[in-house]
Amino acid sequence: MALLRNKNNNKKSFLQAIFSLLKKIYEFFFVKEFGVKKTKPATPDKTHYPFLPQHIFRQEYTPSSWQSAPGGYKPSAQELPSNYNEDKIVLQVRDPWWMHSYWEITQNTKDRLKYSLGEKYHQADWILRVYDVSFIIFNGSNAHRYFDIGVGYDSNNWYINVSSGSSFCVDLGLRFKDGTFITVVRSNTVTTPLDGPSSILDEEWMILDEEFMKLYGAGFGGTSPGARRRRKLKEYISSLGFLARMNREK
Amino acid sequence: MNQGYLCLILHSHLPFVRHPEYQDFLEEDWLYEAITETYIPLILVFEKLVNDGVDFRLTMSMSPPLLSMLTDDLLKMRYARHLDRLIELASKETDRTRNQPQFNRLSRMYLDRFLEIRDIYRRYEGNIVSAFKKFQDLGKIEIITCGATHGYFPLMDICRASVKAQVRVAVDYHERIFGKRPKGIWLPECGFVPGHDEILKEAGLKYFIVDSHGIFHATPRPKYGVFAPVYCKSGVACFGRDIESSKQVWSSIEGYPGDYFYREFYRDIGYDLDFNYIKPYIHPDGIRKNTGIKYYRITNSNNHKEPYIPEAAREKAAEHAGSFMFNRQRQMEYLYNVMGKKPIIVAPYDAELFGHWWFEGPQWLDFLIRKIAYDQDIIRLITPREYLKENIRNQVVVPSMSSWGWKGYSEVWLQGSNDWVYRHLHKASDRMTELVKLYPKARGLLERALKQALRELLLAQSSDWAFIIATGTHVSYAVKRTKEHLMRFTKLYEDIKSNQVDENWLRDIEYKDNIFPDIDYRVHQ
Repeated sequence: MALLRNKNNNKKSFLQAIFSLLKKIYEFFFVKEFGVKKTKPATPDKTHYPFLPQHIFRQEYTPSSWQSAPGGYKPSAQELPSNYNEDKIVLQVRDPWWMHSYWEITQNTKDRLKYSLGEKYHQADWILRVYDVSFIIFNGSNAHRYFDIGVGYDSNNWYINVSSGSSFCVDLGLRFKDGTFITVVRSNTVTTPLDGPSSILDEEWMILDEEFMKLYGAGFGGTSPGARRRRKLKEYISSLGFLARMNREK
Repeated sequence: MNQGYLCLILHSHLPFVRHPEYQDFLEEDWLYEAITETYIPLILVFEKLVNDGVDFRLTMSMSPPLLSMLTDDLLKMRYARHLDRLIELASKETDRTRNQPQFNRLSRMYLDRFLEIRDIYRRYEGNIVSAFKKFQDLGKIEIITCGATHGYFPLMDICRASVKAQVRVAVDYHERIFGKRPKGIWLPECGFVPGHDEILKEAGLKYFIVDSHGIFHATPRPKYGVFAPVYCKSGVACFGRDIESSKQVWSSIEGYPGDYFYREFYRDIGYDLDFNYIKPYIHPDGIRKNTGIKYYRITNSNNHKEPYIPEAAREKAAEHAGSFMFNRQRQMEYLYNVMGKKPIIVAPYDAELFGHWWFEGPQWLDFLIRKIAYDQDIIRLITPREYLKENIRNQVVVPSMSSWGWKGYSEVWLQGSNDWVYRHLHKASDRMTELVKLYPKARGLLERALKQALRELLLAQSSDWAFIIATGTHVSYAVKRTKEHLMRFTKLYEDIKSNQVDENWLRDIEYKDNIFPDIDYRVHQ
């Protein structure tokens, strides 16, 4: 028995070694790119953003003339709640390079995790796992890539540095010593805007149906056909779906 | 024949600040200053143009909170009182400065000006919105709407029911005030997220405006850049701001408003004069504030200031109007040749820049409009709607998420100082949707409570609070307002759900936060 168990253990650690090697290779090729981006400065480089000046100038004009109330203004002394007793994580886009996420995990959920995981819970790290889900419907395991951010037990929000023109989703969960990860809550999916002109050049042009009707009416000889005829035309056109589509040229 | 169009847009908005519970409330001055320095001076410009038979087109967005305040009886009364005191101060000034000719003529200028403003205010019986409506009916200006409380849509994207409510309430309120539904919307802070165009379409809106990169970074790449509108897939048109014409006017360094002959904003007698003399005209608690009487010109970049010379400033305004027109003409000629069709140059500004910050702004606008009408035929003024009528075939793209705030996205409203508000705003938004689902046909007290809940939610969503918190100068009022509306909402939510609406308390907050009397709470879904 003892021998057998030993053998099993050996086998397990051998597999683990292979697994962690594969993981390192994977991280080297896929996750590293994100790691580098994380160290980017919080302020996007001016040279990348041609529209900077006038936005700053606009700002100059607005705030400083607004003066605040003297001591007299007294709202109710209550405070907003620190939490709403729910497990929730929300992801929002700040700009092409940054997202913001906030979350709340109830004490109840933490207790349940503690109870079911036992000692492992205390050794695990609270992690934000950021998935790149651009152009796919995310099913939990088909992300193009992901990276982790250790957020600690006490934090409840985080700014995440990402790439422009991509879609993301984040999981807040626990990562254990052996590298396994469990999701506690999953966020909504958001898309960061492009930070430059699109590379897609296909053109599509459109004339609104209401304008098309006027052209169509004019085509019948009168620039202002009577209301009855116009109504008839409209009925005629709307009964022919393909005609309405015609005004959307490719 | 003209070679292109210039579309001037003035966006006017102020947060809803109305405190009937106080005799004198400092933040209400934002409205009074804007009426005296911007809105009535603009009305004066428009009136003179109409009287002189000058044809012009201008687009103005008037936000619902601003319209609410301008049509509110209490604030109208308080403004009249404010203006009377200002006139009293100006006439005292003519006396005080009688031995200083340089200042005396300026004090007389102010006195005449304030009297003229009071004249206008009385002529419209305190309802200056009706003046703007008049110019709209004359076909000179097109008034468009804005978010119900100027909520910043990109950070509401997670609860689109709130974006819908912001749009629907705004459109309904606009119709109540102007008698017809708006065709266009100024998205608060130009904040756009792809997909919101569908919400605009449902509300019957035909166009909106984004900042330049909203168009330049659109997908697919727009052929004419910001110089022609594009259609979203929904068929709602989108216009992009022109960088160049913006910079010339906005920039306080290279732009016109920083000219040394223009009036200096930061030298106000409210701060400069002897405390005992000025005391009756500042805040009763003795806090100095801007009175609107300012005697100096910008002069230079340091602190030494010379007295203002109105004639010299007027010359400058005329010169700058000429320069602006010249640059637009060259831009138009170039674009017309490149595009093979008439471009539109969209030049939006905060209305409060004209007159309030840039004292000579309304004069500049007057010169510009007259020059365009009489001195040339390359440019014509146009509204977005007219341009769309003339150009019915447009490219279909998805504009990029963007705003006209600092750095072009959401950083102003989402940063370390103010990011805490969204967890509460989003929760309240979810709760409002829940209430609408639970009580789709409420009547009586319950309906009143539901209506007030939506009012409080909308007021909490106003982007101005996050903006003020971010600028860091006078945070406490903005924080208090955010929390106060959220807590009022929460109490209403809890009271409604436990079927214990406190009618006395409800009546009190209905009286305080009296915006949108006819609000339909069901739009939040």
